Amino acid sequence: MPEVSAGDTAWVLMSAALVMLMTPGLALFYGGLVRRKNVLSTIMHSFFILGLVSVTWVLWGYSLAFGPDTGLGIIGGLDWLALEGVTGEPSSVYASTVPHLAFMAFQMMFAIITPALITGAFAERKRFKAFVLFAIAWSTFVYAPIAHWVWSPDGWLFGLGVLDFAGGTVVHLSSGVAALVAALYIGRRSGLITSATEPHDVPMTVLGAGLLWFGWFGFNAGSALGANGLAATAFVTTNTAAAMAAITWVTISWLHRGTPSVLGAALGAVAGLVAITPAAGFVTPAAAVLIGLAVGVVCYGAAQLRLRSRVDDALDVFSVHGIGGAFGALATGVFATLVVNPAGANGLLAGNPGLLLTQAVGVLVVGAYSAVATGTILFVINLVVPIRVAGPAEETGLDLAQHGEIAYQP
Amino acid sequence: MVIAALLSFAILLIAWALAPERSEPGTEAAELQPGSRVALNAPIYEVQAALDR
Repeated sequence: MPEVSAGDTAWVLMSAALVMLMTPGLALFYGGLVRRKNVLSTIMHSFFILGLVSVTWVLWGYSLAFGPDTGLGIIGGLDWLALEGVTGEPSSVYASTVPHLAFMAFQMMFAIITPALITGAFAERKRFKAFVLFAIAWSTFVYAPIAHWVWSPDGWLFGLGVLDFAGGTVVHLSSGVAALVAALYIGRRSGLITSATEPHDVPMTVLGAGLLWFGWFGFNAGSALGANGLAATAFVTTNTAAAMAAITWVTISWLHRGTPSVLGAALGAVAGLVAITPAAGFVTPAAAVLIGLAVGVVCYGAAQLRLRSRVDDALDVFSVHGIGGAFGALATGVFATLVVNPAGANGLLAGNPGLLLTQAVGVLVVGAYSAVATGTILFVINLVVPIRVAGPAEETGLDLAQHGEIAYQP
Repeated sequence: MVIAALLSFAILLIAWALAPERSEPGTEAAELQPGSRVALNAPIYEVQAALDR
């Protein structure tokens, strides 16, 4: 029986708490970006998912994602339904120095924030009842299988050698692609002249970005699953990439639009955090600088392209999380080195171009599955409950029309 | 216990399916109070039209 390490357990539990804080942080990040008549509904999406997925994860999500494989590396079984058999003793498979329940709780926070990320794409027009069904279905039929493929030792992408330290493909690519599909399916917000609206509260968004950045230390450094040197590496690479992407985005917007955008600093930091997520425990801090620089450029370009398109991904989820996640996964294939993490692999620059190819396969498979499954889920839900609110409700604003409350009293 | 836990969630699912909605056309306008800031919170195309004027 493996021994529980007090230090590792403390760090994983603390990291779970840090990642939990990211979802309210995301609520503020998104809440500030929408118009004031939709701020509560946008915040509610993230906050409700915090409750909803916490319960579904305990009941069946964890078992499907991390439970003993059903045979093909596709999905876990129901052995751990309602956490039966998941105890304070370490698992024989995952994180052998911390209680199994601590590992489960840490993973639960990832499962919570992933569908919450998608909500930015259909902000300001999605019916709450349809949103609830979507969150349950997506976390069950999209998140759980992908997490199993990539993170379970029996998962088929894990077996292929795909590296994803903390969720570049599992969390960000899957949610980013789902966001694009959702935005296309639900259609543009009515009455918009362009694909952009002015954020109603930039300080709220910057506060949200700050909380995300803070929580991301748990997300990435916590994924070392121990209080050790690998956690320190992931901590430093995470901060470095976020910082570099933030100042890069600001610089580009300064040159492009003539002003150093505050909102750009927040978006850039998040893009950097997304891109370093799959790489955090496999690359050096110097590589993190390059990843931050490159993703700042790439995601800024993607956001500009989105503005010129007819796609109303309201809060740029695909540009930042989809593109950033895919970029980070591929960058892992370039910069990974066994010097940083002997349990990983060498990448292109360390003489192993095969890893880049493997990472590309992972990106394509996860992106394609998320797109198809998300489209199917939206189609089926729309047969039961109309996904989009009626026109007058959208015009009034979802805070009042859907929730009967307003954010700011006269 | 596992069955009871699953059933408790199923009860919530049924409740969500039966829960009323406020977003039917025409019902939300009655919620607006004259002079409230919500009433002033016009869609962006109306703001744009006003600016154009």
